[in-house]
Amino acid sequence: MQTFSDDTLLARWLSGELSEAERQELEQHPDFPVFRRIVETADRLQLPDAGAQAMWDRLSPGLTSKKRVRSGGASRQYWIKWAVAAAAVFTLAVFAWTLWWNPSPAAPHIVATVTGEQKTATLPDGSTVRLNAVSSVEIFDEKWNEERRVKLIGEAFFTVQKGVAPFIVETAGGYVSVLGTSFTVRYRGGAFDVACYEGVVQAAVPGGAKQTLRATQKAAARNGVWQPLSSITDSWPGWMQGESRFNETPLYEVFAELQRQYNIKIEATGTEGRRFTGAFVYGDLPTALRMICSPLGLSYQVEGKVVRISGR
Amino acid sequence: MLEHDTCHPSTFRELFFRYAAPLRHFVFFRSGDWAGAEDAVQESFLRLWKNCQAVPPEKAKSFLYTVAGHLFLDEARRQQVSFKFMQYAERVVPAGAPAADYDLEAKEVQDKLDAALLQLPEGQRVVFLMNRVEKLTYAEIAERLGLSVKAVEKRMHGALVELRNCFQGE
Repeated sequence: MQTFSDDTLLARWLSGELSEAERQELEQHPDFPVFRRIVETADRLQLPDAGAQAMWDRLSPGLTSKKRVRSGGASRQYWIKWAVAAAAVFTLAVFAWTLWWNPSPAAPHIVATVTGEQKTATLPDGSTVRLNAVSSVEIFDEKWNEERRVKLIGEAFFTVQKGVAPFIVETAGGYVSVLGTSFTVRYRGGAFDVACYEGVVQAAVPGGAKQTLRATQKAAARNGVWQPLSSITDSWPGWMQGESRFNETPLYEVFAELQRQYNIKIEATGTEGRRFTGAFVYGDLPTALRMICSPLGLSYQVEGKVVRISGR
Repeated sequence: MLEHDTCHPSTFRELFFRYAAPLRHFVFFRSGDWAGAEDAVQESFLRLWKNCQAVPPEKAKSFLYTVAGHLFLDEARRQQVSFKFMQYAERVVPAGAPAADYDLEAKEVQDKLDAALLQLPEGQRVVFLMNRVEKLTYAEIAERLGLSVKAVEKRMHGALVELRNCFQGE
């Protein structure tokens, strides 16, 4: 079988990017007619209509019910509507009054999430913080123009607007400073992790040792000591996509994360020293347990809020 | 123009009608499961909606393809899927070709392609079909799959070499 001088030659033939010499090489190739026939045949393939409208009709009811405030049924008393309207007018009046007296109403200083919850906070400059479960962020908005500083407990994804003032995330396990970028910060039980999705970030541990991360790089410090940089392969953190992902992670850390995403208590026996590579989904406990336990050959039992996992 | 807020209903609707169909094709190219691909589209957009404050409209595409790619992985972990592209793809007779001649020769070639696509490694098949059927450029495919253009070109070249081997197997 005759090989090619370059392993993208056929691809560039199809996109019309071959040099004259390459074109000649290809056309003299004994299999050239076969390649042409494959492409001609493939180009006649067409997919059925994806039915976007039907899919939208199926999806959209679920979206509006999430955002819209519960609408009043026909059986409601008429006066309730008037009461609601009056309350709304009153609230608006109070709000307007607040604006009048205080031109920059104070943003909430602490935003926090509970088990299984995620929340987005918008900061004074339009930057956003997406919090994973059981996390909180404290926003120091009084001196925002000089220094954009937040304090994080847990795990969050930041999208920082470009600005003159540095943006600083403080955690008990280290801090991160940037000018404008997107990244995640996580500090849980001695493990400090920073992943950079866009731009450049600088991270430091309490002792002062610094790490500079570029896009797609990830840095981890364990008990204040930096590990070698690694790379992230995904364009978004898994937990924002609705699942937690692990790579050779000690099982007790996986269980800790499971307890943050589901309101359960895990009692594990015979799993010491085991590690897990894989993922579990949010919002579906049976599937999540199966995704962890079946590849590892563990058995589990759910009794109310307690999940017993056994490795025998 | 898109309103700069994924949570805005009209923006979200526009994103849906822009990406739902190509996303369904993308999942189908990977899994060969047309009905399952619809579920993956629904789930991907639901997760985008949940994160609509943190994902601006210009990043929605990357978010959707990433989620859909992983959803398929999850499904695949739970159940083996077989690739049956040709059951769903419609065969189009080229304009001007005499129907009888076409039927005889073209059908044979298409059956061969069908069998050859089955043999193709998934990464190559997805790139090949996104380019030839979805008509996306290498740059557009690279953006959606989070790969470099060079990597996409390598997969495309590899796909053709593999398909040729299957064609010559007879």
